[in-house]
Amino acid sequence: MGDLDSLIRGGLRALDITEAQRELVVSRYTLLGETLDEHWIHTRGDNAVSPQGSFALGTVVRNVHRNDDIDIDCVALKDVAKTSVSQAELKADVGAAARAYARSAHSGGPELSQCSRCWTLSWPGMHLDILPAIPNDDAGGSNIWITDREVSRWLPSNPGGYAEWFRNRMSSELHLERTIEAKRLEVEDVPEWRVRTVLQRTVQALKRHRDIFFSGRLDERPSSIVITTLAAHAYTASGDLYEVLRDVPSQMADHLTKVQGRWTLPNPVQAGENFTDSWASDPQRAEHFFEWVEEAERTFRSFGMSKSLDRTLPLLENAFGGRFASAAGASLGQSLFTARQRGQLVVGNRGRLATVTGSGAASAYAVKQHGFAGGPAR
Amino acid sequence: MGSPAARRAEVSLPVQALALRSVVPDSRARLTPQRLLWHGQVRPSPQSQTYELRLAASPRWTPRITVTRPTLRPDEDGRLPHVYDDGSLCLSRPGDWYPHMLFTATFLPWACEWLLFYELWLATDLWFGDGPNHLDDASQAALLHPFSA
Repeated sequence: MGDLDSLIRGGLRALDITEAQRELVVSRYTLLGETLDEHWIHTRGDNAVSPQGSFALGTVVRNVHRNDDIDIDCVALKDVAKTSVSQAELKADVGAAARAYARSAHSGGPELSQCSRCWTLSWPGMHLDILPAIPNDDAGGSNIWITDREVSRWLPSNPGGYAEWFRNRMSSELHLERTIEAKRLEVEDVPEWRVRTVLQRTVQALKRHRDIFFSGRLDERPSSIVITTLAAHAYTASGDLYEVLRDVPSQMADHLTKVQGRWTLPNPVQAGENFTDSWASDPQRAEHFFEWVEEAERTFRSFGMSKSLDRTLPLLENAFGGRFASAAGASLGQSLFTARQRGQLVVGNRGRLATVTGSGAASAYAVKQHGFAGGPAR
Repeated sequence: MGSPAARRAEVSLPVQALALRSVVPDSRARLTPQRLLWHGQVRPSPQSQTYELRLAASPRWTPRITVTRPTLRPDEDGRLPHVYDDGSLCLSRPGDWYPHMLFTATFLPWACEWLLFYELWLATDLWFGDGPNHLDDASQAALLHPFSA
């Protein structure tokens, strides 16, 4: 109790999407998908809206620079052949459907805006980016074509394949976490979204640290896909969350290579795509990445050197923000209080407090119930 | 008459001292027929500081526990949560402890709890030790008491 692993988990839980928000996201993109499907009645028929990015990977973190809002990415797939539609037509087409959806009765009245190649639906506290796409019939499977930022070329993409790759990096842990959670809830099975593995938590922590580190210069942030891919490569599935977080930043750069003078991080499921492509035209991006990852390593190591909770919590606040630090403190305070209330608190060598689960503590050192009081001298 | 708990055989001070030393092996206990004085170092969590505690007990009386090192840090008005004005920690309410109970299951871990809640209080200005229903400003103000080391 009170170790860095549980403190960081307590903080990260406050950056998670809540269950109610998750249900809202699912209902919104499902309804959007139905609207698109009606709008595209003359296509081959497999039109779909599916989440991609952090929502699909289980690594959503609230946007600290936008009131801790939730940002979700999804792909709107129009099931037509590449020869039958231009990039600009597809984008306009998705925009028209999104507009129809925004006006519909059950949409909650979001605002619609557009960026270079996508559309954004905004509700209070939540933003849904919609990326227009068509199937990549040549490559098959979950491969798709998306438009480039100028909306003039097709680019291959495979967010579904990437999510599968990421899931494979933590498959045994995912299975274990689901079994533990099912046992805790006394149910047969729990859905994947209900649990967070150490790798998912690590990615969340890295992204949050990046967002805080680049406050005031957000354009310089390394992209989430670069961080997620490097963390997944560096992750070795050993140790608790703090140990992994302490070790991963020092190994992330090992998975970047230089090919003919260009930094390269291949998309693990998309041959030929380099996630660090933009670093060649803007070499400062590489500098910013290395500046950040070195600072992350230093910062995470410093947590372990702190010898008092009242010093650790301010370190966590500097690294991950106030919402995180408050939640980390409150989570520890509440779990200590609850453990004692339930008779699950035990005391070990030199007064170390710990919890036991199950029917209660039967050890000689089980802590008895009490209340604090105080005031005038006895 | 008294409650069934109050009638159970009391734990003698030598037994209390032995139990304390089993949890904190390098601690020191001084016994006289009517008094136990114990000093020991505790560290309630891996991220916590090490604190030296002093426990003074007489038969059948609730013991008095003070933090001897490091010096506790009250707020700017000189107050700490749940302390007596003699500087000892207030760790129980009437009925929480009876003489048949070991200090190792009561006052020692209760003091460790107090210290963990204290470190959180230093960082957050919130005392979580009275539960989630006592985090409002009025409840938090009511649990602060003048402190002198």
